[in-house]
Amino acid sequence: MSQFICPNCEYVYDEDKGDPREGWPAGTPFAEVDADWTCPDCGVREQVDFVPIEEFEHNDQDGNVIAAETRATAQEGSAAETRNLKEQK
Amino acid sequence: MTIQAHVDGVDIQWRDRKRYLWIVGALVPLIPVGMWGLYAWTGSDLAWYFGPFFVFVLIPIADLLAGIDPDNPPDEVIEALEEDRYYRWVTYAFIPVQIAGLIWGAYLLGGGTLPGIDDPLTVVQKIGLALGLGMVAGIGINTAHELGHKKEEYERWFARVALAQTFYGHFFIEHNRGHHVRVATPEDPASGRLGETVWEFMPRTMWGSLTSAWGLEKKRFERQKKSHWSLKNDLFNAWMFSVVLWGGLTIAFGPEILPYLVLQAITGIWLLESVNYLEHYGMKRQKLESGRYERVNPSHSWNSNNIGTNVLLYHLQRHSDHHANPTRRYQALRDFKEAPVLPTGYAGMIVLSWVPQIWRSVMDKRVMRHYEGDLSLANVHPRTAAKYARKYGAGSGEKVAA
Repeated sequence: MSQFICPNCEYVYDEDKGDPREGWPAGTPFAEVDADWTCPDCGVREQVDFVPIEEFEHNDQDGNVIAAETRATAQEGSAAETRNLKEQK
Repeated sequence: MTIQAHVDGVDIQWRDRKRYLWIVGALVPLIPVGMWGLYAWTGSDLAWYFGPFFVFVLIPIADLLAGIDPDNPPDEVIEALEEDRYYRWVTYAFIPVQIAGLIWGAYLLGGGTLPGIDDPLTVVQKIGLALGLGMVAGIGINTAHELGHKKEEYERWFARVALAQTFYGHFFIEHNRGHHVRVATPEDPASGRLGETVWEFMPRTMWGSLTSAWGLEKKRFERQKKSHWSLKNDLFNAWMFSVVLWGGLTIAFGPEILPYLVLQAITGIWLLESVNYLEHYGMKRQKLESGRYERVNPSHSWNSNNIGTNVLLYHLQRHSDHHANPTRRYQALRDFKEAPVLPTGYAGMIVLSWVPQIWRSVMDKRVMRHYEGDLSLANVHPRTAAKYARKYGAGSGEKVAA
């Protein structure tokens, strides 16, 4: 049985325990959890976004988008948005 | 006090200059009690209208005078900063003060007298008091918002208590599992659309949020193969706090306080939903080829670094970081340098929203500049879509694809 982690808030879905409150009884394989089920803690990642816990390194927001102190200051919002979109695609 | 972190063999130190300012938030619920002193001193009916005056005049002026605060904690100390329990105690302290202030207000609404208040309040005075209680109620929803996002179960219960005053217990369900999922999309009832007035937004968000919260809990119980007519349904157990609080106040001070309880609740809800209206006004996440929406990124929220409203609302205006990291505690939220910025703090922006013509003249050009003039990238209200297309051109969506 494996564990899967939300890459945003680090909530862990443990297949042994499931998440009965969310409707996944103990022993529910993660693959049987609805694809559009949202993380019960942060709400901004879905089942398909979760990663096996051994592959997890750091919060995906901190790693990619944020690093506020190191970024160039006073950029135009729209320019940054276009850049972010390109990165996602 | 200095926060320290030891990362990669280097000691990082950072001093939080707002550390003790956060206490101001917990003093806000004392505003209605402060009106007692103001009234005893001046004898003026206007003293009872200090609540709206504070939120819509004093705070916006403070924002304009005190200026902005772009100070960010370095990434290395974020974890230590979140673990510093002082900050969460400041938010917990809000709640008993809020409840005590409401009981005090209900006593006066029920016809009570106090030293300096020789006669029961008149209707005009009671309406002012109810509006003042409503300001606290609205800011209380913000406190509930901070607590409802946290992983600790007891903090989510505190959120329910803070929502009891407004009978808005469903907010912390809908906000976390609904709004955050669909933010800045046409499907989200709590994201303001370009060209939509705050007045038409209000019924849409209030009804849409309620039905969405209902659906979310119903779905959760369906997965459990149980009925959602249960006190384990977070909607019902959250509303129970309101039943107990409102019921207790009505028994203690008489049914004549009920219209004023309703008035203060509507005021509080309206304050909160006004903030919802402006936080994502016109912003739209684009659909990816997979059919999913792009992830929320800093460009999808309006931010403000005005220190007055920020201290009052626990950094709510650092909204891009909040949507990027919803469980992050308020003291650790950062200003994103590339995120779109409002011309002033949320409190002042609410005042602008009252007159849609003024609101549009201030905000629409900012939305269009944000999307480099491409209307098709914005979240346009269907009612105004044709008018906006004539004014700005339909847009091609190419700026993103390019």
